[in-house]
Amino acid sequence: MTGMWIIRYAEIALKGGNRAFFEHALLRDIKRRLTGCGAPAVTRTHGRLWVADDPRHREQVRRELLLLPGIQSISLAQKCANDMQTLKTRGLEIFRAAWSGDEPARFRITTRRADKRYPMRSEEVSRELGAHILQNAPDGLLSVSLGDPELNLHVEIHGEFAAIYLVVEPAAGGLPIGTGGKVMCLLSGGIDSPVAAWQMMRRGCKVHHVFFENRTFLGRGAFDKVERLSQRLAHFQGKSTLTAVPFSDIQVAIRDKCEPRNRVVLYRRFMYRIAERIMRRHRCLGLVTGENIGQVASQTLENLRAVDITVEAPVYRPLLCMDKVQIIEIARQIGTFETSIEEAQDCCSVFLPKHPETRARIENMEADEVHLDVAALEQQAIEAAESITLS
Amino acid sequence: MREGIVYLDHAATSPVCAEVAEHLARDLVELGWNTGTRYELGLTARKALDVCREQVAHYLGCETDAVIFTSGGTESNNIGLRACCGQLPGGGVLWNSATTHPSLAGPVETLDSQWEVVPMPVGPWGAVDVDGLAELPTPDVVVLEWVNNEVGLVQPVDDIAAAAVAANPEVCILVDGAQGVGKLPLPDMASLTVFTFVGHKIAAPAGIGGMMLKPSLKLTPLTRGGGQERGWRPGTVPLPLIRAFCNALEHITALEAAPFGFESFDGGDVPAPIQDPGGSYSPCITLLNVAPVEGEVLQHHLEEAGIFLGTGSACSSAKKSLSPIHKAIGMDAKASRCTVRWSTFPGQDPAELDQAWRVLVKQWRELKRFF
Repeated sequence: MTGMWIIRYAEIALKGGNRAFFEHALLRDIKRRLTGCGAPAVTRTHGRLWVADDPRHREQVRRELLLLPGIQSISLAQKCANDMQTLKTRGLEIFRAAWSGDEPARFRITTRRADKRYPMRSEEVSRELGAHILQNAPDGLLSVSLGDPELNLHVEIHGEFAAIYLVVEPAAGGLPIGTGGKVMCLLSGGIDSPVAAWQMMRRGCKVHHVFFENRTFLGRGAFDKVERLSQRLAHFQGKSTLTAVPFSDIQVAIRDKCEPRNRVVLYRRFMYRIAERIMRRHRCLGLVTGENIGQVASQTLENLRAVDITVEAPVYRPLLCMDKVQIIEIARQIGTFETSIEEAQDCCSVFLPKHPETRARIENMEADEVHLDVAALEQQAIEAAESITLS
Repeated sequence: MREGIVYLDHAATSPVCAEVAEHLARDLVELGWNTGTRYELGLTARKALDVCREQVAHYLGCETDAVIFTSGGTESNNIGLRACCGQLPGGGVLWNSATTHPSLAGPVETLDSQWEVVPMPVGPWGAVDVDGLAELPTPDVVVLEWVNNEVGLVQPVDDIAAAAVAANPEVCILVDGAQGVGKLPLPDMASLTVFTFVGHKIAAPAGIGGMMLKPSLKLTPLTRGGGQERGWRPGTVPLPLIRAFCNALEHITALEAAPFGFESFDGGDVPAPIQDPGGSYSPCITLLNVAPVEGEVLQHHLEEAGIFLGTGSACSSAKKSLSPIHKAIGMDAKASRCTVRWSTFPGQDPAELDQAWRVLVKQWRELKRFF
């Protein structure tokens, strides 16, 4: 008997003519992600992908698969011959390994025939295997429950073999990375923006990053953090870029020449415009931010609109309506949380107004920007921007 | 040291000087033998180790047997505290310094409830009030630092030791010497039980340190193993690192640690040292009051000019709470944020320091408008 990971990708199956393209992308991602876990063999049959199980790397493979966009669910199955006698022997073994044998339990058998030429119907296999398990259990401890089982023994019958397993673990879902086009994420070093990037990756996008850096006032600590965050995200998506845009001069100019209460919105207007230009260089199709309605006083609908209006590109905000607890939960799952909460300021207190605008009016922002040489400041920042490649 | 920079954070660590590095590279290849083996190579290594121990003992003014090599200051302080408290399994009274480094404050915090930890009274600038010690319960163990790592304050170690010994002649006294060794005249070792030191503050590599530990102490080590270093610090002895430490010690003791003036060069305002005018301070560590400018902002501006110094308390440092010495000298969180720590190496080029000071003052004056 050999162990196999069954990888299901329900959503890809819906993609009709593109199916081979999606399957190929997923296969490539799985192989890439598992090279560090003993590079197990990956095969494709019957609308599923199969990964050979190696107990030495099992936990690592499991963690990787659960966080791989495009995978709906996974199961660690035992592969065996598909004759009824073998199904009984192996099925009982697997069942016994999961059930203590001295506590009452409700169970069921779920059989699925991928090969309809198999001589028995699915219900017949389930009934016969269920009866075999009942016969071999102490009297009265096991009961069959089709609707609410504690243990559900799955049997998949394929042409040459069968796969038996108990657990179906839901994975990240979504689509394989790279099948959905490229976007540019404004990464800040906080908890939210890496999660926003991940959400886009989960829907198949390749995400490049841009970071606005006030190195003169805050040093390189924040960049170091953002670099590690984007490195972590590159673990999922492979090669991507991080562009650091120097932002000190712009912040100083806004601080010196504009209304204090407008500062935060003005900073963001500059960030959006610059990000849009960098985005074009990388042929991305939109901007991504970790903005979330009302999470901080500056992220009101009015302020988002006053910022949004500065760019033509669509701005995707996958966290817009999520709660902080949900965002933190995802940040923990994808392994960015611990880095995100490291102390490193992303804005120096000297640039923050005492009372930031929460209901920005576009005409006020535009009127305030007249005091600045917007084009020159932006051009200067873009020329001094530095990109690094992550993989 | 890297060319073209002015490094003023020697209280954090000092890069290995070229001569020490050169010797170390050779020793790693030529003297990398196990000092516990009985063949010729090992015996040669053991002899070289003996020479190092004698050299350190000579410097400290203690018995050769008392010198133990460890991995650094934190390990020395942990072993030292365990050694002192281990002499009294039933617990007792510990006089604690309110301003010690976490490598001492940490292990003191984990002592069990049999130990009554009593803070020593301090004056307005953080120096232990020696007269006030008479009011404290009789000590069994005394723990203090010699030179404070943040403000450079030198504690009156000899006077504190004398007061403790007068109260209890059997008292165990542990002194953390990390910031003073090689830079200041040593306190009297005779009344101390443990005196700890570390290599990377004197331009030896990180990873080597040691301690003077009275040979008469009952063995209560932190880790168990092969019995090296009289059983106090088992593990294969890192002879090349120990030799690097001794080289660095020899090097630094030949240099003079001169205080820097921090004076105005043009009659204008300059940041002022945070020091008791009548107090005793290390010439190598000065905390500067850069209010209203935040220390970290000034730090990063100087970084752009190739000048590296520490912040008294980083506004984004992992340590959110106020440092004990800042608290002891009456600073609040804001005052603490508005400081930088200027720390030098003995013999550092005065012209380089003067140049850095001028840049610092210029930057500080320019930044004031932001605060």
